[in-house]
Amino acid sequence: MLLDVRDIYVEYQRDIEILRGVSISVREGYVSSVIGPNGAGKSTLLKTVMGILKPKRGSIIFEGKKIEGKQPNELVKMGLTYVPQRRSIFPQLTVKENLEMGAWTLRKNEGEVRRRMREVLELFPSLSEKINEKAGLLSGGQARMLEIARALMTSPKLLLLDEPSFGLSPLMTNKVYETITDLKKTGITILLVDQNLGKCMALSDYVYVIELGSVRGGGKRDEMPADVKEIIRRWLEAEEGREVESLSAD
Amino acid sequence: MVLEQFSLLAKNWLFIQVLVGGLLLGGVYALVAAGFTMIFGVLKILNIAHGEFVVLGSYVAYWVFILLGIDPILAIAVTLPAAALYGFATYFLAIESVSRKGIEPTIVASFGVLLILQSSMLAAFTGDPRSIVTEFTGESLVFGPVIMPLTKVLAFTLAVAALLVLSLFLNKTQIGKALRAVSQDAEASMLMGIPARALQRLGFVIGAMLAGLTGNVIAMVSSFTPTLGPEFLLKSFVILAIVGIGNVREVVIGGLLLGTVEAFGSFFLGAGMRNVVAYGLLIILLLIKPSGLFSKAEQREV
Ligand SMILES: Nc1ncnc2c1ncn2[C@@H]1O[C@H](COP(=O)(O)OP(=O)(O)O)[C@@H](O)[C@H]1O
Ligand SMILES: [Mg+2]
Repeated sequence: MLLDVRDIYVEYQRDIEILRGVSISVREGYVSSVIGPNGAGKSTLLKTVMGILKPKRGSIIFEGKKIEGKQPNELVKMGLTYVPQRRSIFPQLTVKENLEMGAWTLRKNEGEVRRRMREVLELFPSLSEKINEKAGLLSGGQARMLEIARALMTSPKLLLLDEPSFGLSPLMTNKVYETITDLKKTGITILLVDQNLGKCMALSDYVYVIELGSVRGGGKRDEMPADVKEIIRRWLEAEEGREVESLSAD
Repeated sequence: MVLEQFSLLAKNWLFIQVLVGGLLLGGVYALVAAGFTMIFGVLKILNIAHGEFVVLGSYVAYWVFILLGIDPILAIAVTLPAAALYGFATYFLAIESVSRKGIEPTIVASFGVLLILQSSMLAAFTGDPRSIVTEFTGESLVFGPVIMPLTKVLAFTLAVAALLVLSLFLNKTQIGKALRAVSQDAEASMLMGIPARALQRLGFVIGAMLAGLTGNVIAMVSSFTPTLGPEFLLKSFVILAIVGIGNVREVVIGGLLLGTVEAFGSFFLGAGMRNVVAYGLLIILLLIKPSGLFSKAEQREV
């Protein structure tokens, strides 16, 4: 396993446990996803893995090393990276400078930074056109692309994506998912969280279902236990219902 | 009486004289505000003791001049490391531990630093006004009808040069860009592998160095006492209210604007009213900017 989260408990305020004994594993070279309703603790889980939050109990193991309690910038050096749910570009820096910041750990090696930037921009042609623009001027979808591209500049072994389609139009959502599909083909390991169940499930090799801070179950997407399958089926139905509703509302 | 002064302004090129005086002073104000906004940018804390950092810089230049006979321009080579040192000490002892708890505790902590530094300076140096008198002190540059004291021109030039270096550092170097990244989004910067905490410490030290340099430059043009600090804090607040946490260029514009408004204000109302003018400007800006002083902090930078 590339990442093993073992029985972690996390709280923001004393004695209000948001994660209650969560365990998940991420297998190298695959896309794993965590699905669950709003407020279930998905973002909390990713933030804890990335060192933004410290678990009260439990351990997190990356490539055989315990990493809980390490700072995010140390974890980046080890090969983890995280694209938060919220907007996180540096708005006053240009697109290029944003990408350069992603290459911070490589900055001593200019040739390597340039090579990496070329590689990453191949995956994000729309960013190449805006390379010298202030990132604050990008549209929501472009900004999301920049965030993912910038995360790739860190040369991650594991990419944590938190709601990549959050707040995007259906068209942009499709584009972002096309990009993530391309990424998957490069062989990078991804841990994905998204509200868009249909797209998320289609892309994932492994799925975990999380509710009220606990994992209800999970495993290989096509070999899920019946009860977990049933939960997902109901959510998917609800999601389709919402889509039908929003279509008829237009 | 005001009318008389208007006619005075119109005659004798006095208008230009007052304007030039204001601009020269404004350059120095921009320098002090640049340090203040640097610290606010990277740490999101208001360094209430910023004015004391300025005054300490004045005393360093003063004692270097008195004890070693070194010209205040050359004294900068001592003032900058000294300011880095007292900036670092302040950060390490009073700010860092409380800064994670939000903005209010740091206001209280840095207010404590203000009191400690001010009383220590009073105890060590007395409240007597000090000034540095060199062979240039009385000299003036004369451009037609406009007379500019040489020390003020030097002070302005040094301030502008320092701001230029700062701007180049922030815009052209990787560390400078990383400082801007930290001030725009500290968490996101850590997700790039940037050691945000170390850079916040660096930003605080740079802010203190800018303050110390301002003090050094102030000591060249006027007399000073240990209690002068809050005046510089006020100027920083006003400039912040004018331009927000902008880039260096915007801070310079704010400084020049404040210097000019003050110069004309004290021309009409009397020199004693200088700070009243600045304070009045601050109140007006607070009233007409409904979003408040620091609302843009999230999107803006150092
Ligand atoms: N900074 C915070 N302080 C206190 N509670 C929080 C904070 N962030 C999230 N929570 C709470 O933690 C729970 C899980 O939130 P989150 O992990 O963001 O859920 P999800 O990403 O699954 O929608 C929610 O009940 C939310 O209110
Ligand atoms: Mg979330």
